[in-house]
Amino acid sequence: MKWLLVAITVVATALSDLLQSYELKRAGEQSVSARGIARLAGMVARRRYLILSIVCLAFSFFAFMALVQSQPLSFAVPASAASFILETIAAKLVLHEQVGPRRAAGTLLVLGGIVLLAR
Amino acid sequence: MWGRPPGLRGTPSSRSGRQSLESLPGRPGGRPQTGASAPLSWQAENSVYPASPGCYHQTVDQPRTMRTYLLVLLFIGLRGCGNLLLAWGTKRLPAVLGVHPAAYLQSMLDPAVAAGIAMLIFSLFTRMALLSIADLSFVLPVTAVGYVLAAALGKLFLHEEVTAVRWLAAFLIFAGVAVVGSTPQNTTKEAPAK
Repeated sequence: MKWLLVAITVVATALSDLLQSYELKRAGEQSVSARGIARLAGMVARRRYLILSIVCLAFSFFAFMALVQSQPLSFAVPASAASFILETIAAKLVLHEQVGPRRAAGTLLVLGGIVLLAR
Repeated sequence: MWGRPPGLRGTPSSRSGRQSLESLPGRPGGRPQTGASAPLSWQAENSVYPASPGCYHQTVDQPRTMRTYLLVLLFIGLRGCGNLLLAWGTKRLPAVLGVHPAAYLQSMLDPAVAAGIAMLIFSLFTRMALLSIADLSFVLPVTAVGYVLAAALGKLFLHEEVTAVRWLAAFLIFAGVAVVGSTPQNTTKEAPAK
């Protein structure tokens, strides 16, 4: 059961982030001024991929909550940090971002830090 | 502050005056008149006066880099404070949150919980703005500083102890962020399609 929750959390987080990143790159530069926030909110209400990403975000949120309720944080946080690896690989393969050795090494350092932090 | 705007110092009259001074065999000692033309032009280029617009356009990427990091800071701060408010607010509540939606709705009436939720929603929009200008594989590790902030806030407000392992973890995260931060922020070359 706990691995199912981990899987839902990781996959839903990754899907949500990929959809957001893809759609927002297409939309162009956004701002966080009052007008920018209203624009973003409008986009979230209209654009299909962004709606889907929010749905995925809700799934990942509730799966993570269920995970935290049944498992200690020291398991839940590192396990869900696996989405880091999945998302970075997907960003390279699906979004065609350039993930060179330096970015990969830095990401692994951060991942190691998160795993240690939760101990 | 300035006696005169730098642009005014290079008026034809003063320039001709300087030339006449420089043409003299014995220059007046002590006065910085000798190499005056070079410092004056340097001053004009770097002054706060918009005399030379070139200096604002020489690095196109700099404002965007600044913008990205400002958004990162805003996002991390909002999410950290939002989560803290949410944790604090829900712990303060007498009722235990169960599976009943009514309990959740009731908890949202608490000012701390409501403020926390508002901050988290705003942080979501901030992250969207961030993703609109930077790579996902850049945003993910860089915003992981939030994990360190969460641990620090936990120590400050919930009085958790910070072990040596946690310090090492924080160091690893910061080192990783520094390494990722040295890579280009946006590597997808395609122009925004309409």
